[in-house]
Amino acid sequence: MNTLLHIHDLTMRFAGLVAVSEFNLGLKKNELVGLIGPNGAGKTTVFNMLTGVYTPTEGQILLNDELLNPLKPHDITTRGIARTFQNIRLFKNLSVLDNVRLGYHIHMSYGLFAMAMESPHYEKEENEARQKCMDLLKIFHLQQNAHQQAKNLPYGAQRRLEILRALATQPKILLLDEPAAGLNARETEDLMATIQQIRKQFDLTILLIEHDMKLVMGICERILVLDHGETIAEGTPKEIQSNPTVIKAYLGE
Amino acid sequence: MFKRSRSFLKQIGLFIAICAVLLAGNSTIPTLLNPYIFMILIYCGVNIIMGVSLNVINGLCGEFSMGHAGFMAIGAYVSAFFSFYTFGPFIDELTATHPGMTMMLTKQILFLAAIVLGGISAAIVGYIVGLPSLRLRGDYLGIVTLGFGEIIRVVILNLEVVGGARGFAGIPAWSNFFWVFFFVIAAVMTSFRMLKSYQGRALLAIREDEIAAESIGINITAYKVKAFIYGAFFAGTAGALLGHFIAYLNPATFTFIKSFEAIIIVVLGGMGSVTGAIVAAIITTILPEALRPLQEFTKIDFRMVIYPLLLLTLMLTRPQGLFGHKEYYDVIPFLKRKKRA
Repeated sequence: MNTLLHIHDLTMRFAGLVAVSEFNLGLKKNELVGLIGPNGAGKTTVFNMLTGVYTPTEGQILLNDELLNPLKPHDITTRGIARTFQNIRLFKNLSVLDNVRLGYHIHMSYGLFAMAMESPHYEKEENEARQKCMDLLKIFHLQQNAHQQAKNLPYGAQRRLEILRALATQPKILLLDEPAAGLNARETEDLMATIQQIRKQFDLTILLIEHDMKLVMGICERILVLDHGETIAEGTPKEIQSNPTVIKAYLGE
Repeated sequence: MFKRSRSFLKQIGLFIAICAVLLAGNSTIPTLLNPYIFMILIYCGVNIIMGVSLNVINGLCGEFSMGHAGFMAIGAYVSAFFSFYTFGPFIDELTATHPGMTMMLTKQILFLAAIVLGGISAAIVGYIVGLPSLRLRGDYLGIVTLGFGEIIRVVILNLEVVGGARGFAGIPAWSNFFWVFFFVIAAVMTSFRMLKSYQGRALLAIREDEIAAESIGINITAYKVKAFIYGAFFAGTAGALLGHFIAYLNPATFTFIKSFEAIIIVVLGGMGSVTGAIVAAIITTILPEALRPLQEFTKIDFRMVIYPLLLLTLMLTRPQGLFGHKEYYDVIPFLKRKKRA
């Protein structure tokens, strides 16, 4: 019922190496699903396929019954999938506000002539974008840093800014790649609350990769476990915690 | 509706004001300055257009183009071709039959047409060169564009209709203060306005991080091509203005050294800074000329020793260029309100 994103038998091969094999997932609207697994399990590869960075070798990705496989990354973003990166990829030399405004980029439409003439259309859209982005910054309490360069923000704030930039594209599905990496316990807790909040506020479907078990077990409704490209388990946090295969993958025999 | 018309009127008013100032300058400045100083002023203008337009490709978008002289050559030769073979004879005829205002106005309109034709043909070539080479990155793109610039020059060298290696003489000397600085203002204003628009920010995003730019829905290829078209268009107009100023064109003007002059302007001013490109263009034009008296004093041409030494010192002390990523409104706080941050 109401499945937003269908992933069928998604497989990615790099020459002889199978990075992800036959990955299946159905994301329902407003769901929060976690993707975990040891390092090198293929989690980020799944994200890269979903966002068009890699074209899958086999399988299908369907968003509202539209096939996403052949689309370029920027087209997929306009269809409503946004992401963050494992190693933060902000526009470091641009201001915090510009970073978020760039996320809003796909909703701008005025042409070159309007730009050169600074026409009312230009003013209206730019003001609107500015307002919307300032509102977004307020959610993460970054509004007073709006005119700072992004690289001067503390690490935790850079992580939040990256999420904001993805949110500014107004996605249906948000992919978070290790959002809590490098955060301390306190910041992680704040992040958990914020993820819940934005999910509710923007009616988002979230798929997240995370190593921090407290975060994953705390907020995800469903968890998939990958190991060596294979999906070894799927279920609620409780089921995953007691699943012998998962324990074996993480701790060894 | 009221707001719409008021904003439009404001832009028209601005346009008329700029034209009036330029016209006033056009009638006074050549008489006030001696021809040598006036020539330097015009060269400053041409170099500003060249620097500002390359700044959009190299500085804002971060694509390392080394073929700017090629775009200039196309603009220069195409416009000179039209004004030498079509527009020039027409004006000569008109001078004989209808001298006076009609002829003057027609001449200016035809000159504008020649410049725009030069710019458009450069832009078309920019598009053609841009498409395949934009799959390349960094130094590879640099080498491809460098090669392309040389190809253009060699093709022109072998075109008899534009004089080949002898050069193209007899181009009507129609360039004047008005048109040169009209295009300077056009290039500078569009650059500044680009910086304040989502399209300009998209270029900056591509410079900062291509993968992240793609992930937020920026069509990288389209924007790179747009940057190339914009840069090539204004490079073409710069070439056209130059050709119609010295009334003579030689393929040797447009070697890769000319491309490097443009790159020096962009790097010296600070990659991506429009203000920097303007200031650097003025410095690089005036400095070699200002050192000329020294040559008479020492009897040896030290210019090409001192000039590179100054550049070297500057790059060592300010590797980010004169302005870095900053613009005039970041440097002078008084003007800050102008920036729609």
